[in-house]
Amino acid sequence: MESEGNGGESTTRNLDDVLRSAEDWYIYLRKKHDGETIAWTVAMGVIAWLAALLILALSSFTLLHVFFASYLLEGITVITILAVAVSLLTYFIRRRRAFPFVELRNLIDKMKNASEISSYDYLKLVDQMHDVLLAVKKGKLDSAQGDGIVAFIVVALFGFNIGLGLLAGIIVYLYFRYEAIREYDNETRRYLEAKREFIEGL
Amino acid sequence: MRACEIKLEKPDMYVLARFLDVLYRDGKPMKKTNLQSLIGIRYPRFIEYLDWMMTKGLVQKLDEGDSELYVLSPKGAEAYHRLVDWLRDMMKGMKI
Repeated sequence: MESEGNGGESTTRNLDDVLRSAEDWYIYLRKKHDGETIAWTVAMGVIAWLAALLILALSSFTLLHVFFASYLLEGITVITILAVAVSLLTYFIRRRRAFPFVELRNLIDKMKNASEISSYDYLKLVDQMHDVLLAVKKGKLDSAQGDGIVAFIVVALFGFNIGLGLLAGIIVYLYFRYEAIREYDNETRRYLEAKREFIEGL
Repeated sequence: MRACEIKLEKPDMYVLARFLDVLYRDGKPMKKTNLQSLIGIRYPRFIEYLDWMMTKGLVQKLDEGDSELYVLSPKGAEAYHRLVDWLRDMMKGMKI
């Protein structure tokens, strides 16, 4: 059957395309994930540091009725350690979430080094890509929290109103959360329906 | 045949891909036992899939003397090409 001319050649070419596209897709996603991990690590560290500083300053003012410099300076060391801990925690949580990426990389490497690859292997590859895609869509739920926090900070700072900031933060968070869940569900449905249609079409 | 169709309401795509792969790549008529060992599923399950594929016209049985041989039909070869196209299309549809 393999020697059936154009049909066989184009099938092989199509399968090669699938592997090449999978690798490009993986590289793009991995870079994106790594970039976002760095951004999240830095942002969470800075937010934790600023929030702790604000609490420290307010507590010194409430307790001592004056901004006490030495109290603040001693506290800064503690909050810096806290911020670094938050950053590291964020980094490791995101690294753990990169697990499907590692599996996909291993599968691509295995297929690239294999002497013969079957459509069964390609099916596994597409399934793995689908898992990674779902992990990415799920990750957008975290981004929704980040977007909510940013909206809260911006509105609270520029509107001088914490209540309004809170409301804006919640609305932004709920909107992006809704979008993330919708995308996740759509992708799951699309893939399952495509599989079902293929089998029914046989 | 009808009973097999009922049993295989939701055939596993991996098993179907395995069937199509083995028969397409080898291209030669194959004995049931050889086919089963290459596909690597238990015999009762293998029979269900084989019957299902024959019902769908994807696999043909050839009677050669006292042995039964199985080969991919033209429709089966077309199904293999469609599977490859499907894989490529699914990948293209995976938008971030």
